[in-house]
Amino acid sequence: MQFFLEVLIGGALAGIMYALVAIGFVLIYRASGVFNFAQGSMILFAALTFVNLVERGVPFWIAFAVTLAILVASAFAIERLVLRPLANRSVITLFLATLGLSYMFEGSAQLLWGSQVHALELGISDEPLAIAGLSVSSFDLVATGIAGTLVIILALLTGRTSLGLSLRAVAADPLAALSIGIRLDRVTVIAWSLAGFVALVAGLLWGARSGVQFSLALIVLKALPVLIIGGFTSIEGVIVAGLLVGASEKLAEIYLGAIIGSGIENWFAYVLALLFLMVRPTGLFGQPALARI
Amino acid sequence: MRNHRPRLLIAALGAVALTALGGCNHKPAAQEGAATAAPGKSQYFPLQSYRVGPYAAGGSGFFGGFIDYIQLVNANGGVNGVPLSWAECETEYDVEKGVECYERLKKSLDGSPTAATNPLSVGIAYATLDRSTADKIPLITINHGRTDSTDGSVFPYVFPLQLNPYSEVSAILHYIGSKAGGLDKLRGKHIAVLYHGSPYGKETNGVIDTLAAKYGFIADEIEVPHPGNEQQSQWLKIKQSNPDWVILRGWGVMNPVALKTARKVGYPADHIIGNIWSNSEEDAAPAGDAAKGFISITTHPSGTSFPVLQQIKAAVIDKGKGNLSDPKRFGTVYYNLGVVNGILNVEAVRVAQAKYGKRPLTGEEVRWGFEHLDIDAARLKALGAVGLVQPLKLSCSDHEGGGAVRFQQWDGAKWNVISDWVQADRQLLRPIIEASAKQYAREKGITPRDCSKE
Amino acid sequence: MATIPYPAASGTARLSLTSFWIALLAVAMAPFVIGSDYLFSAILVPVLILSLAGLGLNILTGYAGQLSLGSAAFMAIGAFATYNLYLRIPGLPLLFAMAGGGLVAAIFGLVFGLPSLRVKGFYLIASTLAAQFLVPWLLSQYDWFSNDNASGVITAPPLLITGVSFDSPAGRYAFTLGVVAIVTILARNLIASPSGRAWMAVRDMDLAAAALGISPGRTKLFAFAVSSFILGVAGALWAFTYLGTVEPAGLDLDRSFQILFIIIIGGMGSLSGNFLGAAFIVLLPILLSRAGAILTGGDLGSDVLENLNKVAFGALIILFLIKEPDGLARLVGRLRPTNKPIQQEPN
Repeated sequence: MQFFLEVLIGGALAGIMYALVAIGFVLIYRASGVFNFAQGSMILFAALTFVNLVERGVPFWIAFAVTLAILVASAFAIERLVLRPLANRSVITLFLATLGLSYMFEGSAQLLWGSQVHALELGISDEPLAIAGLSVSSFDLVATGIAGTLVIILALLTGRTSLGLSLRAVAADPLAALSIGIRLDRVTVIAWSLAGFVALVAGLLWGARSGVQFSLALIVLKALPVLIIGGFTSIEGVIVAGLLVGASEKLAEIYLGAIIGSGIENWFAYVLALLFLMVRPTGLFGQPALARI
Repeated sequence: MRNHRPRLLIAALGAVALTALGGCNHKPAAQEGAATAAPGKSQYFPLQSYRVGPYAAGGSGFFGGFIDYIQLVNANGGVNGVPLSWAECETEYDVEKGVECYERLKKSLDGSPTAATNPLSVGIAYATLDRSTADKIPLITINHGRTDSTDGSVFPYVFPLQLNPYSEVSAILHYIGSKAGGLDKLRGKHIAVLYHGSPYGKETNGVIDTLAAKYGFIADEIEVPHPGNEQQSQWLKIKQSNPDWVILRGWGVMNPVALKTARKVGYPADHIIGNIWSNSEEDAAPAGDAAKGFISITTHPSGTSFPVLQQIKAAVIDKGKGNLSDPKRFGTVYYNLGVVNGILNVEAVRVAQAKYGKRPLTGEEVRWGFEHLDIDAARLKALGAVGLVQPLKLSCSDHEGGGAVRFQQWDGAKWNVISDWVQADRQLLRPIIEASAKQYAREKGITPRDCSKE
Repeated sequence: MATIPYPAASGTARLSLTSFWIALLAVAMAPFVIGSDYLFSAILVPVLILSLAGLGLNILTGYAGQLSLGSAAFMAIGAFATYNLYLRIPGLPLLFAMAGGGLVAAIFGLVFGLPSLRVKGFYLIASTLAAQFLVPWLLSQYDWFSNDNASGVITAPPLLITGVSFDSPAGRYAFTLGVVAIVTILARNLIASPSGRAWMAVRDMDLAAAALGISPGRTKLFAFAVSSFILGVAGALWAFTYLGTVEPAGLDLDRSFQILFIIIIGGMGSLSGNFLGAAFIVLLPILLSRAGAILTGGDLGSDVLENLNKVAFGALIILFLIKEPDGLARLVGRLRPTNKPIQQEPN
C-alpha cells in the first residue's frame, strides 16, 4: 500500500510539471486560437539562455529578467511576422507555422549557446522527505507550489484586471473584441509573452530536474495528452488533467507494465486521452464547439 | 504582374536544385587536411559526425578527438608519408541523414581513396552496413555496434572494435562478482538492468538472461522509454525491489536523470554501474551531487597525461588548430575515445601499408589492415598510448579483439580509475554471437567466409 | 479549409496530355543515364517513398479532411508486416508480401479511425497520436515481430522479383519507381471515383453529405483504410529499398510531421503536390547545407551550419505557409499554359 501511494503521489506531482508546460499552450490558444507547438522549443530556449547567463556570472534575477525580455521581444516578432500574415487561416496551417517556429527556436538556441548539457541548480534540494510514512520528493513538492502560485497569479490576472478581461474577450470572439476597440495585436503579444514567462518557469524547473539539454523540447509531447484531456482552453482543466495523467501513467507503468511489458509510459497517456475523448469529445473542462451550418 | 513571380521563383529554385544535384558527385563538405598533397594522394576519412541535437556532447567530443589525432599524424608527416584527409557532414544522429551523408561523402573530393567510416551511431551503422559492404568500405563501430558483427566471417567489413555489447555486460558481471568474492558468490544476488528503450538498449537483455541462468542471480530488466527525461516509476520499482546492483545502459539525457532520480528515491549511487555509453563527464556532471560515487566502465581512462595526448597538445592544440570548441573538454572520456579511434584507424592503415605498399590504400586494403591489427604492449609504448588503449588483436573471425574494460568512479569533479583491466568471458559469449551471425547470413543469403583458409 | 481541388479538365488538348506523359517518362528515366549512386540512394528513392507516404496522408487529410499525426506508425506496421509475411510464408513473392503488409496496415488504420466517428476537428489527433506511440512500443516489445533479433531491428532480405535481383542502387530506384507509379495510378482512379467525391463531401460539410445519402462514418473509415494501406506500402519500401533496416524509432512523430509538411507544402488534395512536397522536404536541407558551405567557404563548423539550416528551414516553412497557402502544386499549376477553361474557386 505504501508503495502504491508513493507511486501515486510521485506521479501526480510529476503530472503538475506536465501541466506547467500545458499552461503555456492554453494561454496562447485562448488568445490566438493557435496550438503553439513551439512551446517546447521556447522552454529549451529559455532554459539554455538562463543557464548560460548564470554560468557567466550574471545574478539569478537579472538573468531571469534578461531571458524574459528576450522572450517578450520574440513575442513581438512572432505576432508581427508570423501571426498577422497568417490571420484567418486554418488551424492546421497555424499549427504548422508554430512547428516552423519551433525549428527556429531550437536552431537559434543551439547557435547562441551550443549544445552542451548544463546542470541547473536552483537551490532546491532533492532529498526524499518522509511524510506520513511515505517518501516524497521535496523537489516535486516545491515545483507543485510554484505551479500553484503561477496558476493563482494567472487566474488573478485574467479575472481581476482589464487586461485579463481583454484576453477573455479576444478568446471568446476576436471580431467582436476588435469592433469594441481592443487592440488585438497587443493582446496577442501579451499572451505570447505570458506563455514565454510560463515557458521560462517550466524550463527552470525541468532543467533543474533533468539537466538543461536538447530533450527539454520533447517534454511538449507529454503535455499534449494533458491538453487533450483538460481541454485546450482551461487552465484549471490542465492542472486536473496533469494530475490524472501523471498519476495514472506511473501506476500503469508499474502495475500494467508487469503484465504486458515495460515502456508503457510512452503511450499510456495518449491512449488515456483517446478514451477520454470518446466519452467527452471536448475534454474535461473545454468549451464544447458549436457547429454552425 | 503577379504571374511572373511564381515562375521566376520556381525557375530559380529549379536552377539551384539542378546545380546542387549536378555538383553532388563532386563537392561534399570541404575536404581538409591534405592541403599540401597532390590531388588523390591522401588517405581519406569521411566523417558522418554529429555536433547538433540531443547527443551533440558525445559527438563533438568524439569527432574532436578523432580529428585532432589525424592532425597530429599529419603534423608528423602522415602515415609513411601519406597525408590523411577528411570531410564532415552533420547527421544529427539521424539515420536518414547518416545515410545521405554516407552516400555524399563516400567518395572523396579529389579522388583520394576512402579508408573507413566511423559514424558512432548504432542506427546509422545498421542502415549503412549493406552499403558499406557492397562499396567495400570498412564500417567501424568502436565500443558498440551489432554484437554479431564480431564474427568477421559473416561481416567482413564491420568492426566493433575493442568492446561489443555482450562483452560489456559480461565484464560488468565479473566486476560485480569480484566485489562479492567470486563469480560463484553471484548466486542469489539481485541485479537490475535499467536500459534505454532503443535497439542499443535492448541488445543485451538476452545475454543477461543467459548469464543470470548460468550464475544463478536474478536479473530484472527495466526499460526507460526514450529519451528518458522521466524515470520516476522505474526507480520506484527499483527501490521497491532493492537490488544489490543496478547496471545503467543509458544514452544521452537518460544518464543524469537516472542518477538524479536514484537520489530522489534514495538508492545509493555507488551501487550503480554505468556501461560504456553512460561513462562520460557529460553524463555525470549535470546530475551534480547525485552522481558522486557513480561507477562506470571505460575502455580508456580520461586524463591528459598520456604521451600521445601531450603530443596532440603540443602539435595541434597549442598551435590553435584544436577541433574542440570548448578546450576544457580536452582529455575527457569522449575526446579520448576519439583519439583511441584515431589511433586504431591509423594503425590499421599502417598495417595495411606494410602489405600493400606505402601509398593511399583502397577500402578493401584497409579492411585487411583492420583484420590484422595486432597492438601489443611494445606497440602501445611506441604510440604513447600505454594505459589508454588495451592490447588488441583482431582476426578474420574476431573483429572485436579486446573485450576488456576498466572501472572508474566519479568523485564529483572527475573520473578516477578504480580497477585494473577486467576481461569479459568471450569464450562463453562466442557461440551466441556465432549463432546470431549465422542467422543473419541465412536471412541475407550470404555465404560466410572460411576463416581457417585466410 | 482547403479549396476543393478540381480533377484535370477534360477539355485539355490531347497533345498537351501526351507530351506531359512523355516528359514525365523522360524525367523518370533520366537518372539511369546519369547513373549516380548518390542520386539513386540518397535522393530519388527517399523522395519517391515520401511522395507515396504523402499520397497516403493526403487521402486522409487532404481529401477526407481527417487530420492525422500517426502516418509514420502505419508505415512501421507496413514494414514489419511485410517482413514477417515474407519471412514466414515460404515462397510468397515480395510484391504479394508488400500488398499483404499494406492490408495489415489498413486494418490498423480502421481501428484507429474508429474514434473519428465521434470526435471531430483538431482533437482527432489524439487517436493518431496514440497510434504513433503505441505502435513502436508494440513492435519492439514483442520479439516475434523482429524475428527474435536481439535489438528489435529487422534487416531487409535481398530484393528479388521472379529471380531478378534489384539490389543495386539503380535497381532499388527502378523497383521503388514501379511500385509508387502503380499505387499512384490506382489512387488517382479512386479519387476520381464516387468514393473520392464522397471523401471531399464529408470533408467540406459532413452534415450536408449525410443529407445526400453519403454515410460519413463509412466514408471516413474507408479513407482511413485506404490511407493506411498506402502508408503501409510506403513503409515497406522504406525498409526494403531505402534503409535496408527499420528500427521503430526511425518512424516516429518527427517523421509524421515531415509527411504532414509534405502535403501542406505540396498542396493538400493534389496528386502532383505529393511529389513536389517530398522533393522540397528532402532537398531543402541538403541544398541549405551545400549553399551554406559554399557561401562560408567551409569556415564555419558543421554544427553552426546545421543550426543555421534549422533556423532557415523553419523560416522557409513559415514563409511558404504565408505566401503560397495552397502549396507548390498551385504554384506550378500557374505555370501551365492557359488553355484550360477559367475555373471558379470557392473560397
